[in-house]
Amino acid sequence: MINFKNTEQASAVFTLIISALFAFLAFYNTDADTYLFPRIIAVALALLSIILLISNLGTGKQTVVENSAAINFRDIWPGLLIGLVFFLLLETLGFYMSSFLAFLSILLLYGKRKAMDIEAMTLKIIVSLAFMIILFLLFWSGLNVRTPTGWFF
Amino acid sequence: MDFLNYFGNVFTPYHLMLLFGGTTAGLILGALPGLSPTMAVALIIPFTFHMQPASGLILLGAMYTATVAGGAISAILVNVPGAPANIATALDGHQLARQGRASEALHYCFLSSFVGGLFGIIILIFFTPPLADLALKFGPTELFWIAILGITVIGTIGSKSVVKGLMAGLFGLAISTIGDNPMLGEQRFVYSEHMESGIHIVVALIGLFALPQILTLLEESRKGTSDSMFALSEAKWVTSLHYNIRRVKALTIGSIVGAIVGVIPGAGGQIAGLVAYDQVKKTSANPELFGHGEPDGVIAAESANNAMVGPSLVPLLTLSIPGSPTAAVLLGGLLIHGLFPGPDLFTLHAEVIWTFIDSLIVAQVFMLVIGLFLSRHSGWIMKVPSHYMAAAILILSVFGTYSIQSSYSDVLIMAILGVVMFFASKFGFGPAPVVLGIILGPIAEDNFLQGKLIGEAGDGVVSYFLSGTINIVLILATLGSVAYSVYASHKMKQKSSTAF
Repeated sequence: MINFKNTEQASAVFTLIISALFAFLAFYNTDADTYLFPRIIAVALALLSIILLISNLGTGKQTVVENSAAINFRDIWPGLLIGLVFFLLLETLGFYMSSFLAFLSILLLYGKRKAMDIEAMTLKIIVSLAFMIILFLLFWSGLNVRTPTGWFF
Repeated sequence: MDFLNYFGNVFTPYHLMLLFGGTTAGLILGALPGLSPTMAVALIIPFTFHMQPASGLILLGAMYTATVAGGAISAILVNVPGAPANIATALDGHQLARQGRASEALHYCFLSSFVGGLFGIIILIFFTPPLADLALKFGPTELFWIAILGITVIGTIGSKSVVKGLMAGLFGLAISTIGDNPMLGEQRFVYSEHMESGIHIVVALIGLFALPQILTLLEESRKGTSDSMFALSEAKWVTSLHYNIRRVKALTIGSIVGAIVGVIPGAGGQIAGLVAYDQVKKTSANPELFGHGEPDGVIAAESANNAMVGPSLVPLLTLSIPGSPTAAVLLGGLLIHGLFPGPDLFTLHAEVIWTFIDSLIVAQVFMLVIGLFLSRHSGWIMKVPSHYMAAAILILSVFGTYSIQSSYSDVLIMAILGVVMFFASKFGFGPAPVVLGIILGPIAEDNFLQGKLIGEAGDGVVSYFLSGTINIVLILATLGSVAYSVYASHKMKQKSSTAF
């Protein structure tokens, strides 16, 4: 778990870096007319980043009211991994097959009950299948909305 | 009183069935992230090909009305706005849901939508000619200042501080510049083939709202404190009605702001909800309650985005200028049936047009009744375990994103934006200002560049942008908005420091 002791100072530094990067991309080796609007935005962003940084200097002891200032990687990494694999397989396996696998994986890896519990696992497979069938009937058959087909469906 | 002559046409069994079907489908489609009102209306257009013009327009009108309200369902229940117009609804609506007051929040949503929607249609019926004149007065500079005002309004909403809110809005503006320059057509910041067409508004909306919500739900499911999302208490709609009708200020501000924003071509309904929310918050005796489950936030936002529906049709029907993206799709629906918008429309096709407008009033009633019925049965969604909900939102988000332009690149962009937003939210940045920045970016840039060209050819750019009554009013409103936000933020900080 990563905890930011002072999220305000951390965010000020991060935003300054991103603003500087955006300013570099907008100004360096670019056409002034094409990049006029992005350049105005870059200047405004840089100014606000500096204001944010200055306003947070010397606030090391300040407790900022942010109950969500912790990133719990242990809890979210399985979800991020499922998402990544899902996005990569989307065009290869097809939308409905890859969605079924992603849906089922989340149900198996998260929640209170253990994945190896046969009864719970059966329920999760049925729910995943039912969700996909409803989605297919409503959109593919009913409204003719097309999704990637890939190897399967 | 032409509209009264054609009211009977709406009450045929066939038209009532279309209204019922269109409203129900609109509420359901609107509640799905990514299926915006624009897309829902576009999806239904092929079904109207073989209908009589009046029948086809009745179906499209019912869908338009219902999807705008339906977008609030997912905004309230799962913190993912169904459409950009529902961003402001999520700010307090979801907080109410977290407190176990989801059905109450949905009641406020549909009751306020009904009031706002009715107000908007009355404006459409009685004030079409003067509003068409007003719409014509908005040139490039006025639209540019409208966009800037929208960005400054963002500063007070959805973020931990004014500076962070403004920065998030500017990040959104920066993202909106990816792709073609609107005047010169040259590409900017395109470092990969996936970025060639820029970033679609709805793709950004889904990524910025849905993905962080999915990761948050997964985090919550691992904590194991509760298997379901939130506790839920049932609310009686009559009690909600009594409360709602007493919120005159929120309803009035919401309806008026929605009607004004709706009539401005290109401004889009998404701004209406946020501007109304901001105004109600600023004039509230307890602004600190906003963002923590204040019903007035939902009432203002929903009355505004539905009040926008009627007036957005004013420039469409009289000047052929769509007031919103959905109105642009409706324009396609009109043209398919051989109806060419313009001053003659109300004389040459009076029966079709007035039947359509009358049907919008009845559609509001259907939306209210079906919406309140759905609210009673919304409880099951809140009982769904967090990880089931996260899985469903993930699949619907990918589906919604892909279906916009059948583009795999959109799915990747949505995923990247979502993950970045999740981490940014840990630093106190909200998704609403970023999305608004992306929405307002093209409006601001396009009109800025047009105004610059006109100014250079005339008295100069500066004088062109700073002259004219509407421009001056908008500039003063922009400055006032920033000044007030800084003042209110300072005052709130003082309050919290004295409390400790």
